[in-house]
Amino acid sequence: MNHVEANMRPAPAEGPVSRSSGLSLLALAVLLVPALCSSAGRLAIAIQSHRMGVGNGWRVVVHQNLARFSQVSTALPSATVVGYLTDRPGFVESSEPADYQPWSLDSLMFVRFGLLPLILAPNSQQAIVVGDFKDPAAASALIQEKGFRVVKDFGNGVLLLRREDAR
Amino acid sequence: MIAAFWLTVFVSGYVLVVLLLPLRRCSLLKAPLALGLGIAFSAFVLFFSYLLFGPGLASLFTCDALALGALSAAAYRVLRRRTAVDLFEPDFGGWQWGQGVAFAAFCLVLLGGVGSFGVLSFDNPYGWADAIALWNAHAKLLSHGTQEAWRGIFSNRWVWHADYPLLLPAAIAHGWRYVGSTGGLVPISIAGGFLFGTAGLLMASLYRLRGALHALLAGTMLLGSPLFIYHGASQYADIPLSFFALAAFVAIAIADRLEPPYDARLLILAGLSSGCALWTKNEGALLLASLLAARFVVIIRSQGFARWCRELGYFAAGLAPVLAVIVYFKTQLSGPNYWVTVQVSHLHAIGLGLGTSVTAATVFFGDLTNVGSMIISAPLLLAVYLVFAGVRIGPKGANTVWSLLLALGMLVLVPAYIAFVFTPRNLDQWHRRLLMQLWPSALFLYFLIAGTPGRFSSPGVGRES
Repeated sequence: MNHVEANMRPAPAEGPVSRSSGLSLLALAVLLVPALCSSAGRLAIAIQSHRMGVGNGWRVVVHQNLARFSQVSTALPSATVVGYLTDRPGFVESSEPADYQPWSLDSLMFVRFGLLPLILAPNSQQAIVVGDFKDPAAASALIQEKGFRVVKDFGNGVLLLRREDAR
Repeated sequence: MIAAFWLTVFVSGYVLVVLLLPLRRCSLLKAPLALGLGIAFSAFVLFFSYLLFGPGLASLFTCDALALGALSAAAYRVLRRRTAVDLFEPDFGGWQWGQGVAFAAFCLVLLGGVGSFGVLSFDNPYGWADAIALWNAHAKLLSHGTQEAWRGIFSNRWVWHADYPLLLPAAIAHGWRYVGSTGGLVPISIAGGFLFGTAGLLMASLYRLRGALHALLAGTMLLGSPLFIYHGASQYADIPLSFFALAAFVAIAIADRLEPPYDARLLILAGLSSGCALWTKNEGALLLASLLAARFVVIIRSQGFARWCRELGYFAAGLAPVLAVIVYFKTQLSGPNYWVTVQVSHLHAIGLGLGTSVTAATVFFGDLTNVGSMIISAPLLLAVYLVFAGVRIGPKGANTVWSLLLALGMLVLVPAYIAFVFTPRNLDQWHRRLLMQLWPSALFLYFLIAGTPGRFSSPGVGRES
């Protein structure tokens, strides 16, 4: 056995509580009390957010999108790039690569996640496009205007579209 | 099946640690290391399995078995040679009331941390924005990968940050392949493994190097940092990166206390951990560069060029396999890096104006003083504690302390500050999490240096650093 460090001697006997003990305890309290309070505060915020339904907002949105797009996501081979056509207010198509897309498209991350393992291109320039609509009337008008036909209607406003001139 | 995945992770990690940690009676230290390295190992096995045989489940199981078998055989050979040493005698000179107070506080903070992590993870099973859009998205693409498609994922222009390192996505995908679905349990458990594994590694290493009181104080400070818990639950890669940075620092700190040849395997472990940091996030490159530069300065100054070359050789031996994988990934599979392309153009856009630098410096140092987001500035608390406890650097710890101080200084001040100045996005709070990558390592360094308050400074409580 190779003892790299020397053995330590046993601790000297402790005397009664003294000024030194008080200072030592104060030193510990300097670190421990704020850490305890911070930890309790973090827990309280997490529980409060959960109770108020603020904290679990993303859980709901993620699961909503997973449920909405689950069928279309398995209808095509993995990693197929699909376009996106929607009547969501504020959505602006982008042909920029994902890393350079504007922040306004960040809200699409739940749709992207729900569609995985399909890869979403946030524009209608692809041959195969996923339709994500709230209003059926707006959907049919937009589909006609962009020159798509419905391949399959998955319900709940989710459509698989193909460009009319694409084979 | 998640139990089978974790069993594979932990056993392979433990065997790897047995190979690389030549210390007896260090189970407390081996367990958290095994957890983190096991997760990393599972990511490598998945990557190699996909690369060599495609994304079939049978080939993944076979690769798992073969890798574990090979590791076990190597560990058996090492164990037969009986080359392990004792870092310290396990007699810590009895339990003192100061340790009792710290232990009670730590237990409460641990409960708070577990509770917060649990609630946050329940509410966000796939984490926050980057975890959903990036890490878990890449993992999902990998876990559903087909023979034809999986290689193209990393250069696909529609995949966000497709070139980002694969340790976390590949580990999650590995777990999902075992489970057979892509539920939130696997990413949550991996996030929890890194979060509490980092705390465990910090405490276990300080326990061996400085004693129980320092370990408990460090663990309480780390788990009492709300931002650390928050980003553990966010499933971002910053906490996993912090684990590997800490593992590299701990390996170097222990290696500095051992005489050759016992330090060799620890230097390999430091290289491996640095490589894993690089395979977790691109910032790992900064860790690697800072660590190498710091050791160059300190070792050449104190022990000469030949000793540094020897150290570098072992470090490189641990780093090389990981680096080879990363180079292959970056050159053969992935597209160009966003930061390289955007930052260069952004430099021209914002220029190097004084106003930008001053604004960035103000925000950066504001965040630095509030690292961890505790109710009182953590650096201020640590400074006050130091007034009571004093500084204690033993002769064997000098190299470690100067190396880590230099490396952390370079890591905090240079790259983090540059990221602040040149970020194309607003100087909002997202930068704070970058500091979490180094927070465990900073606490490790601090408690290596810090002495022990007078009443508790008996032998066995405040050990020589």
